[in-house]
Amino acid sequence: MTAAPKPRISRAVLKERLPGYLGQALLLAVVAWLAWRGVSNFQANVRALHLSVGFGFLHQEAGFQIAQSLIAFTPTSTYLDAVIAAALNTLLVIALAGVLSTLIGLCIAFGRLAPPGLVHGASAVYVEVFRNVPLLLQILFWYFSAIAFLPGLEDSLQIGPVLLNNRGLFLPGVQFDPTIALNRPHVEGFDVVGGFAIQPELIALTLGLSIYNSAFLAEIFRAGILSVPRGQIEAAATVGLTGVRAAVLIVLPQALRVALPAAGGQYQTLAKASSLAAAIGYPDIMQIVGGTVASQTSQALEAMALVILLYAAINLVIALIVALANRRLLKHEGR
Amino acid sequence: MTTHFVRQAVIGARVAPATAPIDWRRALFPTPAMAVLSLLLLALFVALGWRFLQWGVVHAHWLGSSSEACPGDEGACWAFVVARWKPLLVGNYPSDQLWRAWTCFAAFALFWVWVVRRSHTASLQRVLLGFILLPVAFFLLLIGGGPLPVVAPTRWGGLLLTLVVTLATFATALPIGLCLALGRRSRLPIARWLCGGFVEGIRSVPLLAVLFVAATLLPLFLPSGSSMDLFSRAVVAFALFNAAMAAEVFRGGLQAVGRGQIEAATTVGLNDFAALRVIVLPQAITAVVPALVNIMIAVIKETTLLSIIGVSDLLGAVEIGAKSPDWIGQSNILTSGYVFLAATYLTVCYGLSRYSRRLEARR
Repeated sequence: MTAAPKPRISRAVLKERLPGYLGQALLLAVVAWLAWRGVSNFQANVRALHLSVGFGFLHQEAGFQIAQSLIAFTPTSTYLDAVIAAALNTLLVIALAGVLSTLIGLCIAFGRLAPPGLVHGASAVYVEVFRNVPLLLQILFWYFSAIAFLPGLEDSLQIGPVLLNNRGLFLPGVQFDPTIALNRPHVEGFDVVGGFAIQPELIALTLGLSIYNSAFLAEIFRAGILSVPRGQIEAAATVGLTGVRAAVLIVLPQALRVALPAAGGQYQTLAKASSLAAAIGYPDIMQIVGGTVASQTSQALEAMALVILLYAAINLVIALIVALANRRLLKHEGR
Repeated sequence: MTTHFVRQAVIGARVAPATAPIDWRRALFPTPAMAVLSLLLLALFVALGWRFLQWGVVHAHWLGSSSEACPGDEGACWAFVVARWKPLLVGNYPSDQLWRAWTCFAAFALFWVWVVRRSHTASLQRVLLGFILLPVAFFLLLIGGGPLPVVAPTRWGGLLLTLVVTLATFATALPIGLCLALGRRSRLPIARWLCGGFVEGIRSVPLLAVLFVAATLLPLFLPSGSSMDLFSRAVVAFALFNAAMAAEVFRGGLQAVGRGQIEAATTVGLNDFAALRVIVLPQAITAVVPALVNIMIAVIKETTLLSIIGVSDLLGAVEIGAKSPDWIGQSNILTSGYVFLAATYLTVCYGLSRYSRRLEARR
């Protein structure tokens, strides 16, 4: 588009631009009409069903219990506390699955780059199997099938101070009262006392998310590693760096630069996929805010708006972290 | 005396390089660390394979009509899958109308064979047209009306529902996605903002949240008299969500078409629309075909989420089956169903991903 020399738009330019202007006006009108129809329908429906609107419910007493919470949560806590507890639970599972899937993904990526043989083949099979089976199916499998194979309470598996049975994983906690000591979990009657309990829901969700996403991350990391020129590895060998040291000091930093944007996208996918917690009842944003809070208060619009805002915020934070890390990596390159 | 600047004697043919057989000892055990890892993996595979063989074949129960056929959890309960083949394939579709479902399966199988087998110089337009017309035809045939009795979508289920939702999503998400991608690259600011905002907004939200909104909130925004069944609302959610995904794919394809192509089209006198239709779109769409197959894989895997909002897809059919009075009570039966489903999805999605890679290599 060349700008008209005078402020007055010439006839030819106007003739060319007019369809665009009209089209945009029409588009805007259609969108505005749809929005107006939606809002007026909503208002009519809310009046007809005697629903209340607004976020006032956040300060009311929630009256339900959350099985696993990082903050103190009792039935007398408010809905706002429930939202915070749920958001923290989502962040917890994202962090756990993010770290675990990265570690597994790196191992599988190096495994796929090994010379043909068992390690190479096993890594390839791992990637193909776990990325082609739906995530929900994998989570359900870990929750309903694998946990069922774990021993019951009376014959819990004891690995050091860690206790594992079909009620979850029990880690030792640190006790500050009355003296600082390790608080070992132990079976007492029909319950496990002491320590820090990780519910089976969290285990299943973390396992499912980590394994599914590690298959995708492995492919991303592999592409990144393959992009590092061969000469770099040879140069590393020349100065005496071989094996794991060369991989960690020379290959990985350069591979990350290529892999980071794609890996960032995969972490965002992981964060969104953590909402599948709703299928097995792990108290995350989707399950608590989109499920329990929405149905108890009958304010589905406000609850779903909160859900969407929270996930969008988490996505934005991940994007920011990835962008910062990327800048750091590129800065090193400039030196 | 003659001077030769050209060699006259012919050099004998060299012996072909020897192709050494794979040195398995070196391949498996190049270094001591790898050797240990390989041996551990081998032990793991043997143990897992043996356990799976015991469970899935040796001790498996193949026939029976209730959970009594599968005592204990020593072996898989394939009887559950075999006995409930009908709900798994078509859900609650009325028995006397089943020919409609079989017609759909057969038509899709024939169509797919044609898509894969056709020579790769054949036009892409017919394939895309087929992907849009087929779901419409399936929907009309399955729901009935006129001479055919009406079968509401609530009675569809299992593989049939998974197939119809996948195809319907594909048929609606691709055109909408293409429009969004074009809008995002348009010169018109309002179109650009609206399309960009929609795509980025949807992409930052989980699919499950979109499905929840469609299932619980959408009715509030529709006129009070109208009713839209859960199936249609779920398809709308799938269509909008995947349209945003497809938009990003198409945007990549449009960017891959060089600027020179459009300038050349303008030079020979094509207007914007004609240049888009004849020059840009054919190149852009051909470039993204492998990525579109990947979207299809994603949609197939996503359809499992339907079972969460209470639409019985393949996964829903297994869960409903495991809760039915005949089969309730054993986690082993549910596990057998899950393993069967995993094998099914793995076969379909792995096959599609191989197809996608073949398309990419062929370019």
